[in-house]
Amino acid sequence: MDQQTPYVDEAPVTATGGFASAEFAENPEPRCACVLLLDTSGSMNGPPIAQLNLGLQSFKDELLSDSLASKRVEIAVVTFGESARLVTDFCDAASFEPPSLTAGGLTPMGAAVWDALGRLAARKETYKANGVAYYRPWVFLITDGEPTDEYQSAAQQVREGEARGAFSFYAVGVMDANMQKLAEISPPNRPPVKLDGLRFRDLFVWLSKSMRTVSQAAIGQNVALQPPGWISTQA
Amino acid sequence: MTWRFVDGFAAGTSHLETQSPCQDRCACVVVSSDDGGEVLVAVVSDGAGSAPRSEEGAAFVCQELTAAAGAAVRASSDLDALSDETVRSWFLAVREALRARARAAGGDVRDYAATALLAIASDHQALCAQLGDGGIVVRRAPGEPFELAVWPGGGEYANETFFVTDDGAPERIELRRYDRVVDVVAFSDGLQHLALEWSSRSAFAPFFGPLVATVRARGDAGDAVRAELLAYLNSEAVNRRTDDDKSLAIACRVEAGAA
Repeated sequence: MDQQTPYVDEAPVTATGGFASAEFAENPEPRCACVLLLDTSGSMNGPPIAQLNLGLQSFKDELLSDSLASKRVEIAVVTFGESARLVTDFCDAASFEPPSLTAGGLTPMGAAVWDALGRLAARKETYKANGVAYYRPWVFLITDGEPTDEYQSAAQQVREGEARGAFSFYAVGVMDANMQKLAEISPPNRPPVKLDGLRFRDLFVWLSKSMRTVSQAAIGQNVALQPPGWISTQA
Repeated sequence: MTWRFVDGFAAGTSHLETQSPCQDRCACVVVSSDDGGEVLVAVVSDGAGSAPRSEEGAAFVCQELTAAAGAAVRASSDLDALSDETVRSWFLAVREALRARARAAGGDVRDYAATALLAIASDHQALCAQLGDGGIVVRRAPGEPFELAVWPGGGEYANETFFVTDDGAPERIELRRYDRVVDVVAFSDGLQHLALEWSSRSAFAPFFGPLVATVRARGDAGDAVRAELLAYLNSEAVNRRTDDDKSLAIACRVEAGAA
């Protein structure tokens, strides 16, 4: 089809200015929430936490480089170390200040998962109350250890939520992470993956690309994500 | 003729970038009934971006629904005599035909996934049937509000919709009936963020007003007004707000004597 159909110049019949005088509704951009659940326990100290911090910066930069994603993706950061803690509440890429995380304490992963899922549910309510359309949110958990608190109820919550489509849950194990326990928390259809070394930057570049894809999917479109290149294939 | 109408579809900029075809289709016909009535039939179909043959599916939906509805209203322009079941059966027939086509091609019916929006308006009644995203807006009289037949989006999320090819299609067809209407506008989801207001879940009147005013004034200009519509759909103003395929069918009743 000829995309630039020439305007057929006829004397204007109406005073309305034709089709072009149709005004557009102002609707908020649809949003795609992404909660990062980050392990900041003592064992992350040193290069892991440093690389994780660099990765967060890349995440912001990559999202900002895409005009739609920068408006649509909303990031929240919950860490678990000394305690489960909200470090960044939902904000867009421009407002996202990549935190400089420090490592210390145990691994209260169960509490952090509960916290993240609660915030996600509340965020959806905010979207609905404000007439904001939204995409299926993501929860992205990164850990190098295993939960030191009660995590079974949180795991149950993750599986139920994933099953009814409330969110997509991804878990990534770093170095000596207990992949067994991580598998218990992950939904059966999306088992945890292991980060290759400390390739946090590659992971976050992939995550931003995926969020771009998800947040720009046309109506009714299932998204095909790029295969993550940062996964360790060693058992 | 009682109705003036124009319809057109245009590829979204995201489709142009990826060199994928426009997967929207629409159709508009006016049928002269055996009982003397004149009945408008408008169809819009949006092929799923992820389905390889959805362009074909969308064209098929338009062709088949126009034919089925056209045949029914040719026999009688009384839409009250047209049961919900009959209307649903047209959608099902489309699915079955697409299944057969997929089998013959060695593919899957989902390859043809497309939405299906149908509007029928006779002298005394109107009927809207919708499966999937996009919308149909009607107006009962000049000066009356534009009414959205069905709020789009079956699912919770912005990228979820239903298709005529779905297994659960029959239960998801939404039907609305009206008394006489004077304006009918059907559009695909590529325009819905421009045409609908999310906070109030309603038609955005300043969008629809100029469309119907233009068709009412220029609807007899034939190809010229169609070219104007296509130019509009491809305009910078529209493309700034949507990168998806977009289609519009606009029809207005013109009173006898005004035609």
